[in-house]
Amino acid sequence: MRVALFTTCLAEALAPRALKATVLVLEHVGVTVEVPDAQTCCGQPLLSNGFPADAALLARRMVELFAPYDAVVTPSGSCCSVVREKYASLFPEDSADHHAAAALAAKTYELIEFLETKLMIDPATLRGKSCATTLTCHDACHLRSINRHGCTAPYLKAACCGDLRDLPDMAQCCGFGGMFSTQFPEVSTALGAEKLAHIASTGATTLVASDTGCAAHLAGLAHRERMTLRVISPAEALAESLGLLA
Amino acid sequence: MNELIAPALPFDMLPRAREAVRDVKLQQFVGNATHLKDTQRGGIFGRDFGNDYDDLRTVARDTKQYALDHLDELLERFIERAQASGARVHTATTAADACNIALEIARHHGAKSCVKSKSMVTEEIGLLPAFEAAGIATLETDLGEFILQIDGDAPSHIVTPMIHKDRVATAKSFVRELGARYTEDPTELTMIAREHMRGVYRQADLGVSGANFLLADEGAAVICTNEGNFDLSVGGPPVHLVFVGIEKLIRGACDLAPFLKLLARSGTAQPLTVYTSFVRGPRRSDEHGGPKELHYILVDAGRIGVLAGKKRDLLRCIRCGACLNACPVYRKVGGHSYGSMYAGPIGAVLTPELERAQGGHDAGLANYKDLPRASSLCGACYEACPVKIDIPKFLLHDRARLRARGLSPKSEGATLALWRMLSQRPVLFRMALRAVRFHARMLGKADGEQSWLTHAPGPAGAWTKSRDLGVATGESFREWFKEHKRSGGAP
Amino acid sequence: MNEAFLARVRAAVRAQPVTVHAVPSHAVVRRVAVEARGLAELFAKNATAVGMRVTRVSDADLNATLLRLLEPHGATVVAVRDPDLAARAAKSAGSRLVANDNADALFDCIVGITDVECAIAESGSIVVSTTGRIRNAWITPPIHIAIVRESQILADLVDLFESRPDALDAASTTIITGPSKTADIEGVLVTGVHGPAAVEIVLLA
Repeated sequence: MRVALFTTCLAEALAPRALKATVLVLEHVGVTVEVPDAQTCCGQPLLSNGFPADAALLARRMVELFAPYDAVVTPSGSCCSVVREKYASLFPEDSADHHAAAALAAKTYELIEFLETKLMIDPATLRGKSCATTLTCHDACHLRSINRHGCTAPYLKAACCGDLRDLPDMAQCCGFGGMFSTQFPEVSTALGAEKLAHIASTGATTLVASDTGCAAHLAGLAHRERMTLRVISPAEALAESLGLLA
Repeated sequence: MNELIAPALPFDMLPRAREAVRDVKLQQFVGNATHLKDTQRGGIFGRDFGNDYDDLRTVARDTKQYALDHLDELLERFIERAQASGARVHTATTAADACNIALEIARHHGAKSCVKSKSMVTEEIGLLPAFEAAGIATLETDLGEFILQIDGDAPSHIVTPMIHKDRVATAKSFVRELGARYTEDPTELTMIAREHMRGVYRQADLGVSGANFLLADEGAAVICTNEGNFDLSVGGPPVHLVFVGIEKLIRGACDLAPFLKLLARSGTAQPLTVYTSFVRGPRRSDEHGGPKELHYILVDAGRIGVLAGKKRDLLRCIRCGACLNACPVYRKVGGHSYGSMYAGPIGAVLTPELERAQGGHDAGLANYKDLPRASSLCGACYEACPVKIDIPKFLLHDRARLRARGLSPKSEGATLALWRMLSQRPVLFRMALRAVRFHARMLGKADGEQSWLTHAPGPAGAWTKSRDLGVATGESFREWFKEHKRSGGAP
Repeated sequence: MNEAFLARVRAAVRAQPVTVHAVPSHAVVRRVAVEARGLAELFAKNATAVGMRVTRVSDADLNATLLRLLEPHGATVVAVRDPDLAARAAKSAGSRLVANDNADALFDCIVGITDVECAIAESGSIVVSTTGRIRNAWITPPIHIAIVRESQILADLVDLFESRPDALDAASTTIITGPSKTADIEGVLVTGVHGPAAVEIVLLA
């Protein structure tokens, strides 16, 4: 099985450690990962902000880039959902592009989903060193559209990644929402503040966020408020617990 | 019309949203109530439908879509059968037409007083101001709507209209407007309202209501309430008017069960509303009570235009309010921020679409250009919708329309144009990423592998107005990966 | 007027492709099977859960039960379609009985006694109609006493529409699921807003 890493633009800019962790975790379970060099952005910012035709151009690039692979894996829940749920709809039904986009969608996975549903790896076999960290987990809202919302924490818990605590009101959006974060900054930050308060109430010092955007938003708010909070991806949580990342 | 739900156009949402976020009480009332209802909704569907819940929604979606796809046949059948039951059926193309039909009926009967049961479409067409101007004293009988009426306030939620108000405001207005003694006890306040309204029911010349469903086969209307105010409004006065949007039609009682089972569970986590009332014509010859005349006023007010357009799905909405309760943005900004009687996610798409269908040539979006943007696209609304309206999809559609018509901020457009250009040129894209890293290293505060920016330059400045930006400044992923491969993949 | 309106609706319907050609099966809607056992127990449990009180009595004990329920109260209207039950209810009401030929007089009644068209186990609902019953006798007085025979209990709401469509033939039919309720003021539940604060169901074996 040839597996490609879909890096996502945001993770390359803001969270390269999440990408390293993804590669290391996949190698740990015996999967060799390739990184198609020419990948850039999946087009979500364009699609979400009124440029569907331009997003379609990027979708076509992605389809071509990932054509040689059997599976495409990404640590970013939101970008994954765009490929899965939006790409095909960018092209007329029954067009060749539509079918190609649907084919890409069918082989694209968020990392935890890939481990759990494609490789069918029992999380107990990923149990690493016991770790004193207290964590809590917030899932990206876009995982809803691929039926994976709320699936990250149980998997990590079973893999014994530290002391993982339930996040109250996990279902509510953190307020990121892409450009929404700057279009309605007061609403965005108010939602972020509510999320941070819930995180604080768990006593956790590390947040696992299954999307790079949500992670950057919450980490940025916490930093501005001088709240001590480390924000990592599910891949990093696994890689750290397995001793693959320092 | 109340300026809160019928503001001057074009409407600017941002200032209202900003104010609402600062309103501590509103945050508390709306936040608590919506969270509670949303949780209870999940609970009751889990208990009663378990894994079948999604199938139930699919059935409801397709049943309602069938009705919309055959609305002409259903409408024809409804009119014929309602008339056969002795009711009179009127059709109104515009809001003004609907009001005028009602005014004409009222004039004919010399009506001076009216009891009204809760109805969104009457809010939409501005029936109350029209009645008041014609000297017809009208009493809102739903408790929440009544409190809003005597306070000169406006509903901010489809199902729980006074979600933004507390008991203190109610107590004060009861003293002021009803001469009641001061009490903050919800039961006592409710009893004061009850006694006040009972007197009015007995005297009223006219009853007005909406309807939740119209049954074509039976020529009947179905009205759902918890208080019983509809039954009193229709039972007392000699003339009753049912205002109803044409999208409320379904085939008949044979198709009603899925909607009844979804409506109250979605809205208020009840198995059914306390009263599910069927109206089938005026009082019969052997009856002592009930209206002597029953009129249906079937309202278009943009619906026919929506039906003909790309957003027909929106007409599936059964006004349960679940998407409002689930929406993080609604929870923070409250209903009045949306500048329409339809707030929240469904309002954000429906309001401009109804307006477009009435104004012609996309007037709607031009008048409400903030609404499609007032969403983090989290998808909670779609997940909560009992008839599976893909609201995020329509928000995206509207965002594209706004962009195409030059109604979105230009600065944003420039940023996105740059992004579009870079995304198609991988070499430039990599250079840009390097430039970001370099800038962050120069301008930010180093913190291990990353650097924190508090005043970012360029487009990122909007981000750092409200929060810091952490940029990874160490080795890039691509550099690491190359090295990692060269060293044989060992960490 | 209606014709022009209909013509516009027709054109609008045709402006988009039909996406649903037939109404799907509603099998998933049903929660309680027609042949389910213990419907009386299920009905009593669910009616109680929505805030109604259920008293299960034998047919012979109906009058005594009605007397006990009516004892503390005054003016009573009897809106019972079944002639036998009507006579027994009127007898129990005795001097409290108010003539049931005047909708306005209902406002002065404390109790409304009705029988029902049917009841629904799945939702704990009772169904009343204006066929043979003065309208709103179940809404206007602050107390509603409903006489239900176990044999009248349907399994599921679906059955009302599938097997008792005649129940909807009346000028007005109401499915009642609890006492009149509101939570408009700060979400606090208050009963007896416009309709009765108390619904007493006398369930006859």
